[in-house]
Amino acid sequence: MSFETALDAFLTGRFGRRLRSAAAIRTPRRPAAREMSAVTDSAQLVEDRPADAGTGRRGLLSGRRPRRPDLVNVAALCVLVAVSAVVRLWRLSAVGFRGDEAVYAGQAALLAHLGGMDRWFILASRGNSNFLIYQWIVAEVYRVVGVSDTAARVVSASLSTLTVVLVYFIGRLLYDRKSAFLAGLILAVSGYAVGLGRLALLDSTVAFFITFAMFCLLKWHLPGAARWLAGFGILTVIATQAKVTSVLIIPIAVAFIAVTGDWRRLRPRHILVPLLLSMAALTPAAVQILGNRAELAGFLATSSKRASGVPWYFYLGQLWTAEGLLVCAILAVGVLLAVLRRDGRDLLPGIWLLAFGLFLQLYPLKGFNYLLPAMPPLALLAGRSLSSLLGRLAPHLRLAPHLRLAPHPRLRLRVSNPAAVATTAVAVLICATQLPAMRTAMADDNSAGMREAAYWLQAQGAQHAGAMTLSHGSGQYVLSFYGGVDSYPYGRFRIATVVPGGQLIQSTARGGEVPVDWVNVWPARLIEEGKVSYLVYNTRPLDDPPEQNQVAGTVTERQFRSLIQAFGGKLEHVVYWHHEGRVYIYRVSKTLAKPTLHSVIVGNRVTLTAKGFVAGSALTVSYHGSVVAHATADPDGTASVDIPLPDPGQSQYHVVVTDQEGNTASATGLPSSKLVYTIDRATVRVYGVRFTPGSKIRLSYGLTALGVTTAQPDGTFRWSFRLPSTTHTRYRIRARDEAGHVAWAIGLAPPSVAFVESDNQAVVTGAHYLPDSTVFLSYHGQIIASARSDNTGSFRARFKVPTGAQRGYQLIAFDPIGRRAGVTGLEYKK
Amino acid sequence: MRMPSRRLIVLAGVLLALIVATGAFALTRLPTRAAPPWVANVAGCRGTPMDHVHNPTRLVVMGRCSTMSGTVKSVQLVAAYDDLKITIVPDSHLRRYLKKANNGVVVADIIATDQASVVIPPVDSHVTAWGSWVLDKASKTTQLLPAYHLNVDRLHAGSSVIIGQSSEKHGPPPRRELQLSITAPSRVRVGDRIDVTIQARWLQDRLLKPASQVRLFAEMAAKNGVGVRWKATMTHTNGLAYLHLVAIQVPAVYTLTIYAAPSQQPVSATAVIEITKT
Repeated sequence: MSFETALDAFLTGRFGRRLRSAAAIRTPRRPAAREMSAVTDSAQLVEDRPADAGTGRRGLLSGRRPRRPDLVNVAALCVLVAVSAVVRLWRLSAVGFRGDEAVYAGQAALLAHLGGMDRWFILASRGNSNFLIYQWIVAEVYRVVGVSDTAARVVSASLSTLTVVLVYFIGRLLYDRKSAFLAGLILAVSGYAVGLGRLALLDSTVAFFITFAMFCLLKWHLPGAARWLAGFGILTVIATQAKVTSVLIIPIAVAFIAVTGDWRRLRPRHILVPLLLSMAALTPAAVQILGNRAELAGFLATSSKRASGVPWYFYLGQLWTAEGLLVCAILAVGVLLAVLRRDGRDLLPGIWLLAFGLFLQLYPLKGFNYLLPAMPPLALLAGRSLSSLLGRLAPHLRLAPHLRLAPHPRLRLRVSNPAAVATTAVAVLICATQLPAMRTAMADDNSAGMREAAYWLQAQGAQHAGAMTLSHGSGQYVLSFYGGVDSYPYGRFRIATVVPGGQLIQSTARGGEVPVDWVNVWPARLIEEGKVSYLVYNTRPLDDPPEQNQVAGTVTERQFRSLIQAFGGKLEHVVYWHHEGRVYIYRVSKTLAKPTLHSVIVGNRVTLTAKGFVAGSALTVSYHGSVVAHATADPDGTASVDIPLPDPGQSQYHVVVTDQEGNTASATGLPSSKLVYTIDRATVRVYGVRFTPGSKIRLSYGLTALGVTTAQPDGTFRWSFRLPSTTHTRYRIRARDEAGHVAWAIGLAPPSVAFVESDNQAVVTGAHYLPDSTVFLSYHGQIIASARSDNTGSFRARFKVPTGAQRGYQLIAFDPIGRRAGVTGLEYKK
Repeated sequence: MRMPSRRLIVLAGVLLALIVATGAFALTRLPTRAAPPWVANVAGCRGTPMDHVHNPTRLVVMGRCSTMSGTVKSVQLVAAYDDLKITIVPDSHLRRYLKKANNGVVVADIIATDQASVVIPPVDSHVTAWGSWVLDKASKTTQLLPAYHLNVDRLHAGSSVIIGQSSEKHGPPPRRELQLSITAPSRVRVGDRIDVTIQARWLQDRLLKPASQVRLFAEMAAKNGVGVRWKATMTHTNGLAYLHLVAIQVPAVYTLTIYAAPSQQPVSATAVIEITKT
């Protein structure tokens, strides 16, 4: 017995006559070429089911009002709405906004003309992702109840709940009540959908409008009145404006209409009227595009380059993380059975899923929230497959007698029905197994602490002190939304930043890399300019006990921690969440990562200007290890100190300024006695300045005294001496006067020699010999060659390697004044 | 309930194909573990090569023990972590181990704690280096990190080979010994600052003198010896260095070790710091 045959048998056998005709049509045994007619046939199915009126199915499908309310339908819907609403609304504002939520809520407040949000938010999507539809809806709510995070999230939660209802209705239209109920339930308790339904992001709104558009398309297809097509057009436009990726509805609809042959039903008025209405619905986007063409083009240029460095299985991973094992398995089996079933009724959810799945997989920018529009079709396919499997299992169930008890005759029919019991049991099982996933979604504390941090900053009156926080482009706006704090981001991202005052700053990408302006350029600059005083470090959700990489795991987090260290961050406040510190608020104590020191000499005094020290800190000024002055840094960390020119001193000596925390800046080059020399053939000529006029100056080279001279009235002196036969780059030519002024110079290089050997021919080069003199080459005690040095003291000689030359013998090059250098390694090769 | 056999086979086949395809795809995405082989030398291969390497999670160890040879293109000291980066153009037989992002060169990274025992090669010399072959996740390049042994095979690998060269006689270096001492708080609350003062002094002729411009490498390790924080600094002219670390890390007891290696003399000093939750 085939799968469909079994299902057929079940439907005809257990559900009685009222479903018999439906089942006959619903269980196609046809080749692929005839598949798609099933969906069109299903319209006829409606008319073929007079006995189905009691279930409400007839009314839903035919558009006619049912004669009496269907209690089971109402109960199913009530269960779905109740479950959806509870898990989406329970403790909705326990945790404050994430960055993107703050942006949307801020834009909504701006649209509602509340709260002076125009300092931090603009009425345009920086990522070109939407045209503010969700924000418009929230703005209307704000007008009524005022600005709050709860109000914005309630909008999302409500639309997410309504999506569940729509999925139920679509399930009813496509399949049957059981499938519809299970599909709705899967979506209602999906950890992924619940998690996103509780956030003031665009995705729940988008999913709602897409699902609503699909519902309208299906109603028109069944066939329904042309107004459904108009509704589809309007909803498509609204969904696209809510998030531009919703434009995928159009190819989905085109494919669906083409495959089902519905295009034959299209008349000019069917196209024209919806088109005109859609154009009208496009007004918000048109107004924004026309009003901010240049700005939006700029956003497009950067946002189109955004890409996520995530593995190919990113979305599968998201689902796996968010859902329980059972729901993941149900979703996978749902898709798999739909592929195997090749049933035309799976066409719309199939195309819907395929379009979004392919797009999301191929689109380089990936987000944890992007998958939501694909959840309704996944739930529909899963619900239908689950229902089919239950249909096969139900005939084999034996109900215990007490289960036949029911308070109402109409309910008794269902309770005593094995299929209904199995469906209920599976529903309970799904809910039970999804409890951990739902709990995780409801306890999402990703952004915990930031709201409280904003309130703390507000309470300190730090709204205009400037705060910087870890951000992927939007994280800083949480501080602005809640606390009215001028905030800036720290992180790597492409998206433009609205800085306090409404100015837009685009990041500069180099060579396709993610821009690092908000790591390497702006943070230090803003702190130096005094526009940022607080550094707000927020951690991710922590385990108990937390892992090391949860606290500062990423490179950006570590760099932000280093920034706090570099600018002397002092911990002002910690926001705790579940007894773990989640947000640390630091106040910078200095305006430069590395303090600077500049000196200006006027006469015999030096004015030192120190910057970037700890504000108000006591400063110590030392010169060559001795304290020469004390000062106090201004509130901006600068200080100006006037000291006498150190005398005696040396230009090499350091003047060092240190604050109480050990921050140090130093400088050399204070004017003092100075000595320079030149080498003129065999003579070294020495010149000295800034010595005491008339004072006796003693000169030495290394440990050898050279002589004594007297400083001129202008404090200078001249001296010359014969180039010593032994020199060393580290030996000092030193001059010291009676007043203690000392100056010295180094660098008299010793002679050097090197050789290259090839085919027993050696080429010897030397340097730093007596210029324009004869340099002799002695090998193993015998002069073997000579060469003339040039005016710089370099020479080059070539000779034949003596036979018997060994590596240990020394080759020495020496000049007439006895400067010499030796080298070993010359070897005669036989 | 019996599933029709044909459908069962198809279902099983599709599932199997999916599993195989996923596995194969995942395998192709795994980083290749090819690394140059180890060529035995006087130094042994390290058992735990990532000791003292800062932020080791940024690296994937592809070969714990590898040897490479090539010509030195540049030598650069990176102050942030006191790493000596030697850029080497590897010999032709080693190029197959390079990634595209390597652009034909490999960086041999001599970490701060190894610099006392590793010879710094001159540019243009031919060297052989021993260490661990790793993949840097950020730059997508393969590197020899840490390179803990290095031989200069040939100076100036260019066409003209200088066989012999005189050298300046500096005489014996002054006999002096570096002494390090640390002042650090024993307990710090999470998020607070860990203010550490390091004093470096030369003991020379029985006198202690401030040791200025001494490069220091600080490593904070957890109880199990695994490093968690790293920072490099340098003493000022007064022989003092200050570390201001922000204790944004997991509450635990840590050991802060300061390493220095002036004139190839390895010196270290330690302090124990407890990071507390409140």
